[in-house]
Amino acid sequence: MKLFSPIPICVGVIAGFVACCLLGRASSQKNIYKNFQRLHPFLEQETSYYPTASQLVAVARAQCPPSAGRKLVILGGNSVFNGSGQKHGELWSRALQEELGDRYQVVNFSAPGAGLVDNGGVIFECLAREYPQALFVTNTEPGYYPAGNRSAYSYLFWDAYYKGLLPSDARREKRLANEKETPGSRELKLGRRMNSALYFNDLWTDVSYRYVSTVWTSWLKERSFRPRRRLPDWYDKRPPVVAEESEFQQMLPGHLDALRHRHALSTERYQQNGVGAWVQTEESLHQDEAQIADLLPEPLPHRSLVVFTPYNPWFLAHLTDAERTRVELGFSNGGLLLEKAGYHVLSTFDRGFVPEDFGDTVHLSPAGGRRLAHLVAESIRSMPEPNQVALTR
Amino acid sequence: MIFTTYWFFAFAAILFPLYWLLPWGRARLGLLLVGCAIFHGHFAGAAGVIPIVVLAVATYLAGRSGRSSWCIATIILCVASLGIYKYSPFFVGSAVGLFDPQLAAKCALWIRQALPASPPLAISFFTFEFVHYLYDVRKGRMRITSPVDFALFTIFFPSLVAGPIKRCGDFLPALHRGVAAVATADVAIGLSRVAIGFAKKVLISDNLATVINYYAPHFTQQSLGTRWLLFAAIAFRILLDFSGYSDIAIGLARMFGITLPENFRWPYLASSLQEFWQRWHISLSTWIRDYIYIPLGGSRHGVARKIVNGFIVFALCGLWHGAAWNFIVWGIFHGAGLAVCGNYRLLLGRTGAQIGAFLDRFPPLSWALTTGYVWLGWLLFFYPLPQAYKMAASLFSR
Repeated sequence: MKLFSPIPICVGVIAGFVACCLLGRASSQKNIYKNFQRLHPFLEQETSYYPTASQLVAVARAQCPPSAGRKLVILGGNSVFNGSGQKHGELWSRALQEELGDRYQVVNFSAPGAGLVDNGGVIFECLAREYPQALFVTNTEPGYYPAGNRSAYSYLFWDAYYKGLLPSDARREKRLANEKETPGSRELKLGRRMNSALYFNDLWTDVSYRYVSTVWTSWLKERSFRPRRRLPDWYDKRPPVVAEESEFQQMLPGHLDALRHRHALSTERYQQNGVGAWVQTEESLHQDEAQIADLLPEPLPHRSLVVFTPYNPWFLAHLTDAERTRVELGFSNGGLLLEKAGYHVLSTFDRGFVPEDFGDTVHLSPAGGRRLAHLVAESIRSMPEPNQVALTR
Repeated sequence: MIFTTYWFFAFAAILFPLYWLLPWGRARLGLLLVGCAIFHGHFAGAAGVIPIVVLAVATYLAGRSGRSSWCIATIILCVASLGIYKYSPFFVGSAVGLFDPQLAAKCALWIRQALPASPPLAISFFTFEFVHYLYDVRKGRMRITSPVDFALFTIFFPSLVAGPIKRCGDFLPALHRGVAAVATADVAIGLSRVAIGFAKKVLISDNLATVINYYAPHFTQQSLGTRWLLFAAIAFRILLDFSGYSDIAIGLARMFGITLPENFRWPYLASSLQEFWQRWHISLSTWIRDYIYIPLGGSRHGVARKIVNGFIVFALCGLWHGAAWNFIVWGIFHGAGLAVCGNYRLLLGRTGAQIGAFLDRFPPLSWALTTGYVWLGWLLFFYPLPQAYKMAASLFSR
């Protein structure tokens, strides 16, 4: 009966709480993701799973120990770089690793719907000082340059920010101080600030990965409570990508409409000048420039390669001439603005991609992935050796 | 859910240790009041706090005066405020919509523009507590003189959002006992209760809600077994959500040393509808009994009046849960069930007595009938009538 008297219960609660915090802290410092290939849907927020910045940093450290002498290549970006539709063995980032060889270690932190500095960009910032030779390779499309705290994966930015993992940057601090908060953003930031002291997110993510998950999700249904480590890469169980015209024909109405709504084609960003030629509006150019300036602190843009991933030419052929002109303009202007800000740029527009390289409008088939890997590897090899610039923390 | 926000965790992590460490009862009382005001201000915002402060001041002054006319006027003010903030778009839309749907849409839009985007936080709970207080003052049962006591009765944060609905005759003695001394036993019991509440709410109910939201649109296309499982999931989801919330509220109050009334007592074990309402949301059902049903005449004026009173009371009970027809239909459904349950022995004569005797002899059958009826009611509670009917019908067809 003594066990159930008040004092042992109160002491037990306090001891349990402290133990959980310590366990969470411990789990934030080790690599729990064995054989990590990418953040497939069972390892990211689409299935209510939120790996923390410390845990992803630990993945990069485990895959590329500083002592190994390899050059760390961190991939960020969206579902195209995530290899949406490609099975584990067909993953484009594996092909990139093969192209680059043993001197490099590719770690893929891209995720569906992510902006160009989400996830991978955050981890690159965390590791930039520890790995002065590390490179960051990401993808986006013209006109879409959200800062790490303004996108769907902002939780990871704030996790790293409050844990003190990001290099200090006066410009960013000023920007963050002036940003308007919403109840949702306040709650997110408070949660991540608390996690930086108590490590409950790190503990939950670890327990969910290794032992039992506590959240039902429609992706997993009856397998929802299984430890995530037991679940194979989601795409491995999906039907293979069929890069055929008949498939594209079925997708045409919806996907063409979606293509027309992409930033690169948005009519709000372009106007016709006096001679009827399409030009990007001054306002949208300034907006793009301002957004690009907020992406990564100096000198990290000089160690970063931004890839404008291609659109399926089969769908592009269904656009009007004016729409195609706007796409081309978006790619060229985006490239110029990023280069002006110090980024290396690879535009894959008109780089030989054919309809068979795609599974839909933008996502690549295994063949397209290999073509992309080849182009990206060439660009990485041609990047100058990054200078060892001191970053403050 | 307010109790699962990070803000609340941070708030509780500061407030509780401070409360326990303060050596004086009066200081604890003051701290509790400040904490409750911060909580209410944070979650309700200015638009939510101002109407409640106005109603609270009016209620306090009417109570202090002890004058019956002032109490009645303030009761009307409270009920009218609830009606305007929570029900006016629904009532105006429904009434005008009978004659001119376009005009109804215009009226609803106009009301929405005139009122805040959402009603003041917990206005239903505030109204019920104010009405109870003023009614009891009018009957000469009590009067709160201390503004601090009244303020704490009004905005005591553990029960502010989803009850239990407090009675000041029970709450104030519990408050003063609680702040007088911190007892480790209270803290331990409260912590355990809070943990149980969170487990019910976050681990089970929230997951059930996701499952239900995913399958409910295709309910009738599921296999018969899955349909029954979902039917049970709907029933357990609301029980665990609501009782989990009550557990957290009761546990938090207990951590201050304050005992709140129980709100749920294993309601799905009830073997009659009357018993179900003695076990489900007890603070609401007893409030409705004491402040609507009995003043309406209760069962004192014959069977017909008793049945009519039951229907009125349960329609209002349904409406209290939300401004929509499905809640009213749910309330009437329970009113009908109780009318049958409570009167069939009398109205059906010998046959009724035989049925009653048979059910008394087989309690599992009474339990199954009650549970089935209550669970079918949840379909009406959550879904529009045609969808609820389809779902219910599909439970009995292949």
